[in-house]
Amino acid sequence: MRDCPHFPDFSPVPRILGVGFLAGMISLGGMASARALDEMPVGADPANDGGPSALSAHAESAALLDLSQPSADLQNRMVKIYGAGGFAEMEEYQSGFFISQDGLIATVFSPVLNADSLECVLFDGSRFEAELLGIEPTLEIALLKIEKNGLPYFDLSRNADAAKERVLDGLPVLALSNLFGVAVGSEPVSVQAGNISATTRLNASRRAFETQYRGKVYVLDFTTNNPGAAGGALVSADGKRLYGMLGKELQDAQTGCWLNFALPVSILNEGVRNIQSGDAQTLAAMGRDARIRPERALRLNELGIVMVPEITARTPAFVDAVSENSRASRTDLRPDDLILYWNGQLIQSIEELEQELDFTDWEDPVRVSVLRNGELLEIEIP
Amino acid sequence: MKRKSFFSAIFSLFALSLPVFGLGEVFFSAFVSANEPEVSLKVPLEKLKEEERAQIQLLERLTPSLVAIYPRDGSSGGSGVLISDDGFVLTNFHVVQPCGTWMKCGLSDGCVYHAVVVGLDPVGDAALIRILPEVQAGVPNDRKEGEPKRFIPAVFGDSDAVRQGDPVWVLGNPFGFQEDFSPTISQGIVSGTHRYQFPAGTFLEYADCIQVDAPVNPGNSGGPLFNANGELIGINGRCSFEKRGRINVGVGYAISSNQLRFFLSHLRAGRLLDHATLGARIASDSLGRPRVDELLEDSEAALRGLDIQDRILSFGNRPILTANDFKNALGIYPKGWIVPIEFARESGNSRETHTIRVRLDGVHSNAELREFLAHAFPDDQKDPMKNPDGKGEDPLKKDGQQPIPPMQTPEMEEMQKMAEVFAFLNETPPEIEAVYEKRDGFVNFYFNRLEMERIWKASAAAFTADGEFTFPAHLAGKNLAEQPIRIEFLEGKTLLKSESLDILWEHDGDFTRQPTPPESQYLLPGLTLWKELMQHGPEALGLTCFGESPLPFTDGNTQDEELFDVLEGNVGGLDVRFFFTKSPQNQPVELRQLELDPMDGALPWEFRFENWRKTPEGFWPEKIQIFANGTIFETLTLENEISRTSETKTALPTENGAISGKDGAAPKMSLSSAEEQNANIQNTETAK
Repeated sequence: MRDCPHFPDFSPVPRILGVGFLAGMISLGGMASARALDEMPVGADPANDGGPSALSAHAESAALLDLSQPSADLQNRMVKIYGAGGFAEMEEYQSGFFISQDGLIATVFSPVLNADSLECVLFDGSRFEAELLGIEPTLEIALLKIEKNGLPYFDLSRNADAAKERVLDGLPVLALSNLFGVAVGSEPVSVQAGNISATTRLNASRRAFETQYRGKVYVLDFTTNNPGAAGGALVSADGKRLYGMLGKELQDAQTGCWLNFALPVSILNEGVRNIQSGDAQTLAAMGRDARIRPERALRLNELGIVMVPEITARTPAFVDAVSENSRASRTDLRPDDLILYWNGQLIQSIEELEQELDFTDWEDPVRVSVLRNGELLEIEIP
Repeated sequence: MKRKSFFSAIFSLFALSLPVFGLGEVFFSAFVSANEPEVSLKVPLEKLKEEERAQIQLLERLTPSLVAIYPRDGSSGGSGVLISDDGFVLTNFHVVQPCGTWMKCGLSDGCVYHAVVVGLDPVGDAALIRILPEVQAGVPNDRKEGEPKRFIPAVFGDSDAVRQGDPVWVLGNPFGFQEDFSPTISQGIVSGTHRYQFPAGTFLEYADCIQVDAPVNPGNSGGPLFNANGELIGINGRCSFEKRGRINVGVGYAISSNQLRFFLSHLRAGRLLDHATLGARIASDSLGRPRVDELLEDSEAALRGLDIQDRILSFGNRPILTANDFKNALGIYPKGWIVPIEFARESGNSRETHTIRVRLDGVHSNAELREFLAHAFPDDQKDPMKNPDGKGEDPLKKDGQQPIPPMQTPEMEEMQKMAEVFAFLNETPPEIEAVYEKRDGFVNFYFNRLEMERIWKASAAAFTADGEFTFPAHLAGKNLAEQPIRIEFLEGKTLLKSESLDILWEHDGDFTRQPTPPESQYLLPGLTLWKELMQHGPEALGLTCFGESPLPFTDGNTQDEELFDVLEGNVGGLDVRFFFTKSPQNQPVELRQLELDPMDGALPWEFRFENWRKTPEGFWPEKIQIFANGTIFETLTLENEISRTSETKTALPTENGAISGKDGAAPKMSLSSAEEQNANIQNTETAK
């Protein structure tokens, strides 16, 4: 074959797509099963009575290519959420879905929810003000509620049980979300089709992906995690199972690669239970991790502060040096000062200080409490 | 590009011929069976192969309709789709825009053709070009000497039947992949229907469009979107981009085929098109229902009875539940289209619903459109790429949600440099000059002329004779007593005479002067226009082809939303329109309606011609109903005795050749007293 420009090497994208594609084929046996595609572990052949029925099973698989019914059936469980944002690249909208008949909505915890009033637009165009019941900061999920009964919903427990111990890799899926805020009012949210490529841990090395959550996720082979898509539903291609909730946009700071992923329904279920039982933080009791991250976080070198080398895991936050002509040099901060509080937050190690920096806007002044010669000093870095 | 991994090669090959899921197992079983013997070959191989073959056949069938479009310096590239076997190609405005008046097109036969711009719709981002059948480069095609090239067009589908989740195919020319002009194919599903994407300023509005997750990338612009049956349901032209650069993120938009169908005849007429406005602002009331919020007093909608606070129920026979529905429903129509509108008027406990038919006005003034054209589409054919003033913001380049940019590769930049060296090659070839005619306000008047000739040649009402003639008729209306009359078309004037040959009404051919007597208003001017058209033809009257439109009214003689060919123009200061039936080939085309806009800005006068019959003097209507301000004015019933008063110059083109009207067997016409009709507003429902 001659060299031609038809297929430029878009590595790693084709590779990822290819894996998903291949995996999708493997799972097709499950796909072909009319009634029970979800009940089948991958690799098992649903049409276990052999040839002739395999033929008919295949015919049904072709029928499953019609994705219009599932997408229509699920629209009334989806919610368009409007909150804070609307400037720069901060969208003021995201997605969510009902998880109870009385108006509980699962969504992603994001700056959008940091608004005085949250508006939820239902499939029929009706509008409700939502209450933020609570969040699970480590999972980055939030629970909203509107005052309405008799709603269609995804049963999280049942779907979590169904998904338990199952390998979903390669399964064809639909993603429903209000990406780019395309749908308004009563218009149905967008639907996309693709496959689950892999189940893995979102082992986001710090600052590569700006995320708190590092647990299990489904990696998807199609571009689901667009602006406004966070909180959307990931469902089986027949629309009968909820597999997970679309996460927010994540870009690897080093490679620039964007990740498309969803939080598995079992973890979502756990998180929602924690919020409901009060184990997770409620809004009032939100701790450090639940705070909104600034668009651009502060770094110590921008202040001109150099910490001592981080020798052990819990190295105390001693100042090693203060650079000349820096923001810090204009204050009384000195070498050997031990930083105890950063903007009112207790700091017990350099690691904790660095975590706290993630929540400090680079433009804002900083209040620091330091211990010097047994004396606690308040220093404001403008 | 020189190297690619084994895997990506395999993937690329299969991705072209496979749907989302369901058919690939056979291919992958070889890979799979090594590790997962359980999975392999329980799948009905023959059945799968059969489906795959069907799929491949479908794509092979669609492939010839795809067109790769390049400006003649090769500096960018886009896609298009053939929609007729004589070479008309639909694409995006923003693909044609950098090309200027002519461009080069590559087809999947591997040949390069010249193409000329035909019509442009910058608001809807649509354009029509025509490929000239002579091959410019590539393998010569196998047609015989003198045989016209027949292209293989795509077949239109019904985009309103598209549902969310339907599988779709995208054919196109992304990233300039097509060295041999074979299409790149991608597949996906419909992510949303009836989407509305805001325009950039007032141009490039995507109303009622189809959202797909099939990859659509730079270079795909203007290419076709097909449904699973291989029917053309849209033209891909826009994507949502944001932070990830200008590549697909699973969100593309296509102009719906049903919208394009409204515009197609207008594009074919070589026109620069505008989209429609109702002259009213529709806003949601407190319950979210769409109501008239603001209304232009002199808009046709207002003249026909629409009022502030009326609730819009349907528009163009589409139910309107929200203000957004209305924006979508309105956005698919060209300026001048006639649309039925159903609205409800509520006062206290009563609610009345009305249906009116309204000719939609344009979003832009003619001057605005021309200015836009001059800026975006300079007619300096040798250097279309240069901005005429060299600065100023390109009206197309604003905003986050954007048309897919034309692709640009290093190779293309090279080509552009080469093209500058060989600039003489850019001289307009003679075959392009033969099919391009510049005229103010038009994109390519050559095609308007073609359309006008087509309509006029088939028009049975045409006759070429000069001279004077007379016909008797029966006049019935509220202005004169019901009586037999004669209409005399004389040189320089038109007379309406009583049976005793007294002149009742008179018109001297000057449309700007008040008719005599004043109460006769536009009756005689209208009939004179008819005569002028019949005698001298549309070109002499300065008419141009508008394209298709429904009639401003519906009656028993017209199918619901039946379309007519319309010629329009300004004759002696009056804006006039002539509606011709779209008869099948070899059947006479009939003049169905003549309209003129009165000077006072009131509703158009309508002359409805009914029951055309063949007479020894050619085809004549049996009846002409004349409406003023939406109500019946007079009815003329023609008797079967049309005659010529000037013997020397009479010739009617009938089967038997010219027939001379002898002596004064004057055609009689009569004015009959029709009951008061109010054809345009009907009370269809009254609820307490």
